[in-house]
Amino acid sequence: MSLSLLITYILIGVLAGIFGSILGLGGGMIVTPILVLAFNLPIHYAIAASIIAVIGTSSGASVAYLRDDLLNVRVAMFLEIFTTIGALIGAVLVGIFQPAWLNAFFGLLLVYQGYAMWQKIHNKKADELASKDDKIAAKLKLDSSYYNKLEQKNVSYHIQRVPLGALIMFGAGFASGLLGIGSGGFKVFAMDSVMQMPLKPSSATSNFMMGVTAAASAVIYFFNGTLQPLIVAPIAIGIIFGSTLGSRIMPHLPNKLLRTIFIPVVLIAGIQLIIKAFGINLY
Amino acid sequence: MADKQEITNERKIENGIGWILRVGVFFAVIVMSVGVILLLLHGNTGYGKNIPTDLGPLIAGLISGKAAAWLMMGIFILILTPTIRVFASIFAFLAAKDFLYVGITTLVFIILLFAAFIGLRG
Repeated sequence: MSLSLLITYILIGVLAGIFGSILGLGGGMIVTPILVLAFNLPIHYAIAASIIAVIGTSSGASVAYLRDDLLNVRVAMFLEIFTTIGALIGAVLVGIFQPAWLNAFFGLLLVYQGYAMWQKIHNKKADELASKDDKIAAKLKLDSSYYNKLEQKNVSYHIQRVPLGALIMFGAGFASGLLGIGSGGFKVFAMDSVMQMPLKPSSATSNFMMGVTAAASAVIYFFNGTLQPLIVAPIAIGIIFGSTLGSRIMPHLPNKLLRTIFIPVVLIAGIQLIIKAFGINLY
Repeated sequence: MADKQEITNERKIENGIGWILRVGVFFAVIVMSVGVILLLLHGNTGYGKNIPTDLGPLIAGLISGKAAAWLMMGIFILILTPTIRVFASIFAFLAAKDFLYVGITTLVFIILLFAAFIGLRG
């Protein structure tokens, strides 16, 4: 392990942390493609490194969110039952997949991420809130309210379709454990589109959940020896600094421009991973 | 009035949990950085190819200044941070007398312990 390689890993972490926190991606989406495509690291090791990056990013971010009233702790805790079980199964099953398969899965995921970002730019969805009570949500005391800064008033919301939301959360956890990602996008989708929670509390709650979901598979990777400390630790140090920095400078940045720049990058990385899955190395 | 009291209690606990996160991340970075410095000083991990994953040998490695042991323990502290947060939330719900969520949070904590057990077995 040379000094220059060590510094390179720390810098990858810093960059992944900055971009991840600004674009609302967990660090995993960035770390895995870099390690696989630029460093030729086997994808199993890249996935294990990425899941640690996710914990670093989310632990840093949720300190800020805890002081906010956006977070719904009950929704987070209840749904974490499903994400942690999913993550556990994903981390156990990762061993049965050939690296080529995982490369292809990850590539498809990146292509989808690019499409989702494109949608975000070109789609202004109005927040419509449910007004009726849901039996299961009432039993679990999931309904809450948050303070909307734009409208300067408290907004109450009623959670709907808990079973379907829980099922999608299981899938989000599975993807997290299998591919070493935070699955933030899936989590926000489950809460915001399915369970009718407003977008801001959904994002805050998703971030809060990410670290716990990631811990479930990370602990498996740690004890079964898939974590390469020489790669993981420098990236983790970098990502903690990067995400702290990123969340500081975030308000001063043209997010839309960044997303527009980032979409082709995500698409190219995704396509490269899919090509790699077919055993063709471009360089 | 009782509600007001409960809310401030929950606030206090939440702030406490936020503080756990900060301290956890801070310690993880310190311990990993010590590992990086040791790595540069010694020029090796202290283990060759086979870096242990069990906590016993790792703690022994910390004391004898093996670089990889410090790196691994720093990573472990980082993994532990969200786990400790779940553990602390059990008591937050206990203090709020929300027994349904004491149960739910305990279940999440048990799943995390079970994952550690599977990793050790695998």
